[in-house]
Amino acid sequence: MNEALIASNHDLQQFASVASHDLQEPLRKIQVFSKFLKDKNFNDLSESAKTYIDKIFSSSQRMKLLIVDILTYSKLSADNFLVEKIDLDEIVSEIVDDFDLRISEKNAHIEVSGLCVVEGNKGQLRQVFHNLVSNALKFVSPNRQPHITIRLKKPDPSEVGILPAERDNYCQVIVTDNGIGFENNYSSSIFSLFETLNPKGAYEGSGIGLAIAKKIIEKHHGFILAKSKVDEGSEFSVVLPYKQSNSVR
Amino acid sequence: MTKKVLLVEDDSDDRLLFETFFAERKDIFLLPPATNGLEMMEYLMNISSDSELPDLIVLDQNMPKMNGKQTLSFLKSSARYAKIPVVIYSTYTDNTLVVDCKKLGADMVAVKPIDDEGYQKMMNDFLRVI
Repeated sequence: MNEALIASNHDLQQFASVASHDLQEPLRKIQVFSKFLKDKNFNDLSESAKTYIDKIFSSSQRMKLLIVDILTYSKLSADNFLVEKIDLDEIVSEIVDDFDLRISEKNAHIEVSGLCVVEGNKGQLRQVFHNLVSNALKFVSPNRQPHITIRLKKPDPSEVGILPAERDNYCQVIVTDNGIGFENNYSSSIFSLFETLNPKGAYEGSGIGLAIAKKIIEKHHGFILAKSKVDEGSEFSVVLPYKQSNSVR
Repeated sequence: MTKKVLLVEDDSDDRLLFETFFAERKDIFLLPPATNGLEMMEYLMNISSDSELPDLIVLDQNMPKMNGKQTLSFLKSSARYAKIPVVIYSTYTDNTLVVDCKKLGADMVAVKPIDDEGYQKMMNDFLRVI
């Protein structure tokens, strides 16, 4: 690669990282002092003042979420990552444990059936499935009990974009939900940075989660695909090679 | 017994938050805060009796002149101060900061809280390392 390009890429990563770090300090002050006002002076405040402070606080929480996600995203380009054998069953069951509280709150049902072992970076692959499960739990209409399945499928070369001869080199994990879904013409743009399809406030998110997932899967020389039906649910496919070559993307 | 806690923090808002949130705690006594590592060195050197030294030092990570990590490694390399428990707190932490600080001898690395409850819990955790 051209040296100037490498340098400019490096600058960009530096920028994202420094900006996100340095943005967190003033942001935390906004959180601290709006919370302070709320906790200590609550009874002195008028009803409208209370509402405004709540809005300041929740906006600052949201910005914090955005910054942390940008930081995660920018770090992905920087890391030269360690590859090891990863048991996806193990990772997914850890994630299901992490979501314990949200699962019982929403009375969600999660089915996981025999996944596979692939080579990859544990932290990063964990992040991918974390984001997918988090979305599946998040984007559900309130009157529906979330039902999520995570299962293995033999990849269909024409569907996932691999050569038929390579079929046995890949495993495909499918995460299905019965959530609000989306129109299929968004099935590739949902993986873009800051792309959100829902009005703010309706479903909380930064619009970075799927972009992170895509970037990680591509670093692993894999593919991530989505299809969906509005109001019926979505299906996300993660297609990963069993083995990672030495080349790092 | 009341523990003497020394805060080293360049940000005046954060020094104020320490005073505000911990004013009523009987289990700690806040020494006059230092605003950077150099000031802390000077403060400690002016303490003649070892029994007057702080029981705990809380270092902010991002400070001009001498940051938290640098201040920490100064403390841990000094015969007189090496035994004082030191914790680092910062607006943001990542694995690198945690690993580096632990290597240098920090007893704990914490994220700066945003409310009273968070501050009290953080101080409880800090006191457990003494």
